[in-house]
Amino acid sequence: MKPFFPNRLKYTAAVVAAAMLAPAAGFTQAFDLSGLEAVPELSDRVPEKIATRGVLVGGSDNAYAPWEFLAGEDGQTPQGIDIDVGRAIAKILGLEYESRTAPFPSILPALGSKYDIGLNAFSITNERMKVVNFVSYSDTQGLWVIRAGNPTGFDPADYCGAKVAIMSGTYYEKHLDLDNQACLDAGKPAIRKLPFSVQTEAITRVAAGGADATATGGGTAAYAVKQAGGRLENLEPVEPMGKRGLNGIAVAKDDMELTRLIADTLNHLIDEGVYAEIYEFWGVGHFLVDESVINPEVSN
Amino acid sequence: MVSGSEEAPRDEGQQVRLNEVVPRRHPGRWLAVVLLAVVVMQVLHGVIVNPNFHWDVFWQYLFAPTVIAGVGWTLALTVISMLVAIVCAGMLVLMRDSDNPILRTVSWLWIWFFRGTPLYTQLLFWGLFAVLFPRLSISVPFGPEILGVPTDWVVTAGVAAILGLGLCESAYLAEIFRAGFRAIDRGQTEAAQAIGMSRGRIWWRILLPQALRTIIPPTGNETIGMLKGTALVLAVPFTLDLMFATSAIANRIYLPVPMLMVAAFWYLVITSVMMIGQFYLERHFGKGQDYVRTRHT
Repeated sequence: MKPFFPNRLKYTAAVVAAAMLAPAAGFTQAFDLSGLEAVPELSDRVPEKIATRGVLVGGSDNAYAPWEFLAGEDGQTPQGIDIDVGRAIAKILGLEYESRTAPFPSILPALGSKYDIGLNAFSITNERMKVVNFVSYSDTQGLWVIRAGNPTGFDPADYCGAKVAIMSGTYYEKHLDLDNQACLDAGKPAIRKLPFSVQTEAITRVAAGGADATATGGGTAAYAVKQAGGRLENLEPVEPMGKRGLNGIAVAKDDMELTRLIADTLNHLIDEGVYAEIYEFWGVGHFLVDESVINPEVSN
Repeated sequence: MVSGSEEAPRDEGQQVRLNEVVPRRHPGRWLAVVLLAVVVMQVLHGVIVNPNFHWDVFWQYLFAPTVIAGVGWTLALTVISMLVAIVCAGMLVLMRDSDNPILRTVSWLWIWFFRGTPLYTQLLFWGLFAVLFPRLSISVPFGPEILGVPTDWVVTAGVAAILGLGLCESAYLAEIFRAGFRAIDRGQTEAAQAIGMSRGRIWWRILLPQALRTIIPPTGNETIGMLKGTALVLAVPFTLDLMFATSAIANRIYLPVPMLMVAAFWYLVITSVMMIGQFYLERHFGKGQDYVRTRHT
């Protein structure tokens, strides 16, 4: 496990400084995978359906910079950390990678049919593991995004009654609901939840002043602060929302064969050092895992 | 039979030959019915026994409390927004035909603006209204405030949704109302003026009842469209309507298809009730003019 940064400022500064490497819209930024070769022991295990197609299809909403977003010259090409991880996995397996843009809630139910894998910075939760298999590939922590200077006096330790924008169907929304229940049980005013279908809309609502804060994964929250040019800042959440947690690649529940293949491929990339290089390239080196685990034990 | 004249002689065995009248046969129709029945049964079978539709989940959530509440809120949004829209559209039509050029221009600008921007964009703006205008107040122009409230108290999510839906719809309805009035022959107004009726009386007693016959079908159409348009209020965000309620459940159980069918079922039920209501309204306003189909014509 990577060491946890105890100092909020140091953590945020490190993420923001590293996020300087992250691209602005219009730039094509992708990790150079030309040195990677297909590995026969792994590429032989590719299921026939995918092998004949020659393409590994990953489902993603492509609206979660810097993990995945639409950019490039035409503004329609998926780029990001997850895209490069997907491309690396596909290259090892002797396939091409295609990231298909889809609404976030529609990805997990369509695994195995429309998409081979779900690669969208999914938080690994016990509830989701009842429905899909997960292969861990990142270790991240959530962050709040608020307006610079905290004009509404937002306090992560006690935010009952605040207006919070959140993305529907996410791990952070579940924790928001739990915090809301705690507020109501304590007799305090309810948290006013504003759900949105993509994270970018939630952050925009905060920047516009229509919401006090939004919570999302650390990489995305820090990237938003950097892109907003001083209008936003980050705050650390308190436990349990602020707990470090694993993100995973989702595979269909009944396809253990493909799940094991993805895990072995990721572990190969970790052993070869390519995985660490991709993460350093995007400036999220402190989100690495030492080993990719299938359906790991998590407490959420 | 001719009375008083010679009857034609008849032979013993010759009967009056009656034509054998049978209904006209339509063998092609029967063939088409059989083919259609086969196709329909295939489709129904493909849907009913299909495990991918998760019918058990459909039945489980069809009468769930949040879904029923969602139906209620959607109906409330539809009814209140249409009332707002009808009142505004009525005023707009009056303004459009008035002698006052300022009123005419205002009416034209309103219709131009609210028809010219997408409903989703308008709802986004209404959701941000409290941010753009933090305080609603009556004040001396460029002077001190007399009476004011924070906008948040007045323009809540529900009010924003209703205003967004209602004002956008009023522009479309105003044009439908105008069409209804244009369909009335100019002679009606002239005759009413000739017998000395006032403008208001002409409008209320002569023009409006005739215009309503033309206005009701497209307005019913718009109401049914508004029912589905309420799904867009997630832009505000207003989260109590039917579409959001079913989406929230779908996100929790990772099964989008049965929840989509729950939403579709309830929308169909409400639309069917509305269509029945529209039938009776149309029949009332079409009295004396509509072609009423009887059995033998």
